Amino acid sequence: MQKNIVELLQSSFIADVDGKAILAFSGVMSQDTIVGLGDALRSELHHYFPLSVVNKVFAIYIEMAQNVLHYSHSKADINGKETGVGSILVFKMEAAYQLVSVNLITQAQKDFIEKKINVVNQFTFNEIREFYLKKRKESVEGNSKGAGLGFIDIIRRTTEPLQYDFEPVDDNLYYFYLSSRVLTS
Amino acid sequence: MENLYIEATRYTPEISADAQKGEVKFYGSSYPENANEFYKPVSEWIEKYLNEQNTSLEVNFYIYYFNTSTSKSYLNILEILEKFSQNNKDVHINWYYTKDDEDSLDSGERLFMELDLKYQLIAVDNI
Repeated sequence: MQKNIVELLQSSFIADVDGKAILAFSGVMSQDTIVGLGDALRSELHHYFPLSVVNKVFAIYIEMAQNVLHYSHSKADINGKETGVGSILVFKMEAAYQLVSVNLITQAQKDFIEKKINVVNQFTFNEIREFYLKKRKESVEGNSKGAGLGFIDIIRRTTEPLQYDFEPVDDNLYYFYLSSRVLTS
Repeated sequence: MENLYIEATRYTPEISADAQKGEVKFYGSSYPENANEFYKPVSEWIEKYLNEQNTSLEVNFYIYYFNTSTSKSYLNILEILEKFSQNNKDVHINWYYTKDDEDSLDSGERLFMELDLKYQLIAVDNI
C-alpha cells in the first residue's frame, strides 16, 4: 500500500514544498531501483553543481531510500526477498534541493521514530559525533541490516533539523513523511 | 595464501587483497543493501592473512561515498586491524578523501575516532 505520485504531491506535507519536482518515484524500493534512480539524480545534479554538492544530495537520497527499503511496513516479495514499498521525491528550489521520503509505518515504529528524530534534531555538531560513536558501537554488536545511523548521517551532512510528519491511515498505521534540505550556495 | 579480488559494481567498490604485496585496496563507492554480507569475505581474508606468519599489511581506501550500513562494516574491519596492530603486526591504513569535499573528510575522520591505529587521511583531487 502506497500513495501514487499525484496523491503525494497533493498531500499537505508535500504541497507546502516550495520547489519544482525533478524526481518522483512511488513503488517497490528495491536496491536495483534505488541504484537506477540514484544514477539519474547524480547526472542531473552534475549539470549544475560541484561534486561536493552532488555527493551530499546523493548521500541523503541513499539513506532515505534504503530506509524505505529496510523499514517500510508495506512490503513486496521480490524473488523471495521482502522489499519495502514507498516513495521518494526530490525538489529543486532557488538555492537548495529538498528530498522527501514517504512510507507506511506502524504505531510502534512511529513512537520509536518520533523519539529518535526529536533527540537528534537538537544536537550540536559535537553531540552528533558523540552520539554517532555510541550508536556505532551498539550497532556493530547488533544484527540489523542498516546501521540505525541514517537520521544522524543526514543531519550531519545538512546541519539542519529533519522535518517530518505522520499521517494516520487507521488505528495502527501511518504514512511517515521525512524531509531534508541541502543548500546549494 | 590466495589473493582475493572482487570486481566493482555500480554500488560496491573494487576490492583487491594481495598476499604477496601485503596490501588490501578498496576502490569506488559503497552502498549495498546488506554491507555485512558483502564485506564478510574481506574481513575473513584480512583475519586469515594476519593470523598466518605475515607481519605487515597496508590498507588503502579510495572510497568517495559509503552509506551508513557500510560504515558499520568498515568499523568492523578497522577493529580487526586494531586487534592485530596491538599484537605487534605492522598495520598501516591510508584513507583517501576528495579535496574540497568536507563530507568526504568528515566521513573518514569519524571512521577512525577512538581507534588505536596507524592511519593517514590523504586529500586527492578526485577519486
